[in-house]
Amino acid sequence: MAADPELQDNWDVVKDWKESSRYLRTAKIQAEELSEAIIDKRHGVLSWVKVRW
Amino acid sequence: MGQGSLVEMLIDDGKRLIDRLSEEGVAVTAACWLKEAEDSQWFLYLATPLVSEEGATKAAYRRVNTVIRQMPQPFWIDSLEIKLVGAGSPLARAVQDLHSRYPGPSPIPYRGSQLGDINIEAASIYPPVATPVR
Repeated sequence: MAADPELQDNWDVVKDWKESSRYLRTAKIQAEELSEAIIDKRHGVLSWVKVRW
Repeated sequence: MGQGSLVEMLIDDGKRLIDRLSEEGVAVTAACWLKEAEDSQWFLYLATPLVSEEGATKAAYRRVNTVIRQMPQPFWIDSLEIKLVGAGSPLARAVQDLHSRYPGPSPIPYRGSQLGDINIEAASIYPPVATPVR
């Protein structure tokens, strides 16, 4: 991750989500930020996970 | 960092990071280590106006991570152990309230079950942070 600062930033956004977050009202920009951090094709968390698991 | 006690080394590194952020012009209005009840893990919470009022954090993490990468080694805090919240968040307000009731230069151990809007097992509250120098 250290070699990809954008991925690191995305992981930081994603790790703030927790199970209880489902019950919180969230601003649109915050939801979009989380979604983008996951699905970004080059630096997203989902792509990183797919390569390793 | 795993479960168990918060070690002195991480409290010291947290202070180093807060001081460094201040030197870099990043305002930190409240800072504490929290062991959250939900997953029993310690996190360094930093309240900063870098987090937007709507709660967007990515730009804030980018800025803080830049500072972390420049920290003199050894530095033991991983960026995934840091959580950024807004300067006006319930957590920031709760920490500032503790500052007013328990002023002092040292971190305050806190044994309540909630701090702001976060359910916790334990916490260590840093004293008020100096205003950024630039």
